[in-house]
Amino acid sequence: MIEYLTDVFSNYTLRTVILGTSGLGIVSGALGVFAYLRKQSLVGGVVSHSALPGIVIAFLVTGSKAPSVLVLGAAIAGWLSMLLVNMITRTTRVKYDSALGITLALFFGTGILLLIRVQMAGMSKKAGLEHYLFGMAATMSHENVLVIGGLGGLALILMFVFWKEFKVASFDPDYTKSVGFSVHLIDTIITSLIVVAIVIGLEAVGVILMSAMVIIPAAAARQWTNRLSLMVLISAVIGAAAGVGGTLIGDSGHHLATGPLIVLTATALFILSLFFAPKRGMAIHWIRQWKRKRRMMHRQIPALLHDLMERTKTKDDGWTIDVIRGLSPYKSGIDRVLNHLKSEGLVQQANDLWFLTQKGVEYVGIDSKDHGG
Amino acid sequence: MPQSAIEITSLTVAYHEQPVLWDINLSIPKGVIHGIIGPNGAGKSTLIKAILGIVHPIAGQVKVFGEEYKKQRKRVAYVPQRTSVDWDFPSDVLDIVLMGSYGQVGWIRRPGKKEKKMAIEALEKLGLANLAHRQISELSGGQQQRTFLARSLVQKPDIYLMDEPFAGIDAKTEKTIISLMKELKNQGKTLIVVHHDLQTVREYFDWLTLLNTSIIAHGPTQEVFSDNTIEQAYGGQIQKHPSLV
Repeated sequence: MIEYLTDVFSNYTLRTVILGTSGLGIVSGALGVFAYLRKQSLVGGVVSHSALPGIVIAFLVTGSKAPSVLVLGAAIAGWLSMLLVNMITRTTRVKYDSALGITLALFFGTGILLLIRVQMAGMSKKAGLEHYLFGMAATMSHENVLVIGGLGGLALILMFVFWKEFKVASFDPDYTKSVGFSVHLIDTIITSLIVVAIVIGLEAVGVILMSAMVIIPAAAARQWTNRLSLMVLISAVIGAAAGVGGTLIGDSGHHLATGPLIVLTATALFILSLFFAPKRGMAIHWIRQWKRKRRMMHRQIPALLHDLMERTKTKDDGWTIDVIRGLSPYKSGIDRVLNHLKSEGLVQQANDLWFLTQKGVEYVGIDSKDHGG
Repeated sequence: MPQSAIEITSLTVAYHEQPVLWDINLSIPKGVIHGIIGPNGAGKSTLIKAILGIVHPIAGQVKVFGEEYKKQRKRVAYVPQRTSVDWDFPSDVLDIVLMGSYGQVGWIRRPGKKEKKMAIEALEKLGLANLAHRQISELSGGQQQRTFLARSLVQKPDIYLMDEPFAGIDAKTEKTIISLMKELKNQGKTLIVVHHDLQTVREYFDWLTLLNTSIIAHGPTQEVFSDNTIEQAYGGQIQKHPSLV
């Protein structure tokens, strides 16, 4: 293990990639929280797909494939796509989600068209632009990490600066307007920062999957906390963990692509959160429900047997499990509860018939007194 | 004649060419509890939002204490409909009430000790002090409404605009709210309240506007709240109210 870790840290290339992927995970995780809380998770998908024509055009115009140039092209295109969505919803009766879909199709279609054109012209090998479709973390350069650190760091700083505005506008936009803030300006800032969070991850994760990185860590983090600041922190940590995890699995030499692995690692963390988070987790919910049901059955079944006994005025008759099940509001798990009651000496079994013991009769008496009869 | 709190002239609001408010002329005096009633879709919430500059009218104007809303907004507090926000937002009660100070604090600066003290006072006023650190997702309807009211108290406004503050709350909260409203009125504040329960109109409101896209009647409750005006506002939508027979 230790050997493995030293290996990782002495490997310059791998170290660079890990710095990059964890950095993009932190930024997209943190800012994704605001997309999530504003119910704008689909925005990430539109921005990332729409970045593609920006990347290709930036290359065609400058002839350069430097990360800073391509990221700038991606950011402009991503931002324009959001502008178009706003324009459509404001000037037409087309609904928000349709506007998102239309914009995505327009930009991504154009992007693919241009990308294939570049490939046909034989410029593609030189450019390596197709990496931007599915991501290519392994080739991440030092400059790429600098772009992630620089732009991502700036986006995070702005998030802290406008923390209060982001919070109130995400919770209650009308109220925010009423106390004198421009919600339009706050929206624009949040959207711009989400655009930044997405475009810095495009080379490693690709335009198709990068949107997942602004949704999944935030959705996972929501399961763990009820505080906004903690949610942002946890989401950033989950994003970083997905980045590192995906990179390390990709490096393990099974010819697996790092980009999808990062997204799948994030998804795995999301599923874990969904099941095992305290309070909100499904596992804790199920356990509570099951315990409650067992508690109820534990009281209800002896009471039911007692009732039958009273009616038939005999202590010798027993009842089959089918009769008990038929009369009980609970249909499953009755045999288990009966066996448990038996181990406590409250019921007895002879052949297929179940009886209440003397101790059981007393238990029912005490229980009904405890619970007001 | 004393200056009115709010003066609205020829206000018209439309969504996609469909008029929601039509040629509204309204003068709301200072220091009253003013009810706005009307059927669903009558434009009650829109009227409040138009006063606050949240929706933009296609015609007409709104004056608050004789000036534009922008210039007087620190004297106005908005209490939105409780159901207009998602309460499953990661925050506690104190956090939300503190938002009442954001308008005063302005961009970027954070609320400090003074604002926190004001927020806690507002919580105490509404009997929420022990819930200050409760997650808002765990609040009952009445507690949510009181949280919103506490937030508006922090603003220390002269005019309160409340959208359906009595909708879906328990009887105890309703009493708390109405006695708070009367207390505020006695301090000279103006309260403008969108309301839906016709039974309590006489008891709660000094002044009343009956609205259905345009104004049906407006004035002191005793004068304007009648079978006739209700019939006009609601059309055939409700049975004659027993308290009015």
